[in-house]
Amino acid sequence: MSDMTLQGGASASHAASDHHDTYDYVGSKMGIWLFLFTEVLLFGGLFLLLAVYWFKYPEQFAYGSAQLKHSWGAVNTFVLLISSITIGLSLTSFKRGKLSAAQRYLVLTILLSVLFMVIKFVEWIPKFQDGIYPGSSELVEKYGAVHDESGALLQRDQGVIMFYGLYFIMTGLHGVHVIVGAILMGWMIYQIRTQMVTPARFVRLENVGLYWDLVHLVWVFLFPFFYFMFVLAPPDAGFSLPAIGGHH
Amino acid sequence: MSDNVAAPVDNDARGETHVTPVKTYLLVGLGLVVITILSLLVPKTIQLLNLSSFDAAFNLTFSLQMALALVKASLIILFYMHVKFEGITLKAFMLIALGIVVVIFLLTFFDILFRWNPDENMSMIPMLLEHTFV
Repeated sequence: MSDMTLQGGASASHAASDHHDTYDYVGSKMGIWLFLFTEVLLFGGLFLLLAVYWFKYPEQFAYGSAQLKHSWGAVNTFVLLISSITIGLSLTSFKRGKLSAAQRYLVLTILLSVLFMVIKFVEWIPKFQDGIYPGSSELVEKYGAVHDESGALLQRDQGVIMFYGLYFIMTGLHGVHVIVGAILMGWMIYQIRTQMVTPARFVRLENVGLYWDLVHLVWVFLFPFFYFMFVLAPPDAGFSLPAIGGHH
Repeated sequence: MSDNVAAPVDNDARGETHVTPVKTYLLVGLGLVVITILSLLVPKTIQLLNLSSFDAAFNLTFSLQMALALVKASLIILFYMHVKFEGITLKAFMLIALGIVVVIFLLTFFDILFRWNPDENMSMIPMLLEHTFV
């Protein structure tokens, strides 16, 4: 190996085989799983907050849930679902030696992740324009305080503020993970083209796929518990929905 | 590329030679689409059930959404994340990590559920049990 006369193409594979001794499929895979567990703890902690405050303010959280853009959220769910399929197909074609198909699937996944972020901003911008964002004084004024007739402060109804705070933080953090995933996929396309990742040594691509599956997994829980936790009043008026907010 | 991996000698490398077929991705994807559509129908379904209180409707909404989300999560973890075809070590990793998260949630809720605030003139438990599922 060391006494070959190297040309352009051969030097790339020479460099790759220099790494041969350090390629550790099992170790790399366990490494990414350990990292994914830390991600589960990260989002798990936030979900714990969501669960506790939900339990404390069920009516307010149901009310907040009803105010989100359900159709856009549902579209985003399908976008991420398809992107999970495409990155899996990228890995399968790569393992079978179909390098250009693998790259095309990666490009498709990146486009889907961009679409996801575009839809997310389509959801967020109208909220910002309505004065709903973390730290908004309008939010506090609308939902934070309940006054009696004389103007004295009766209670601070924090539930809706909590809901929106958690909504922006959790979907925002998830969005950051989507962006990072798109960058990683772009990096993988580069690595495939420079033969740093090959069908015999594919664990890096597989690990990016696992990361992306985790991003999808987090959304699987985010979506129903933010967007579809609202309650519709029954048609025969078995109960009416509680009134929310001091004054609208 | 020709010095391909030999048959794995240890259970942990089982996943290396297994290639998930395209059909698996598509079938599991179809299952996920169906479950997603079901989760979109939950609020309407609960409205049609004509329950007697907001709490009952809310709790049932939560239970249904959680069940659907757990099924989706299992499908993704087992097939897309390949855990079904991995060795026992990785499966054990997974179960232990999930177990830890469950314990964290359980312990927190043991605290929250039984916490009594002196400003309230009753504890949360009777409130909890009152309208839980009907």
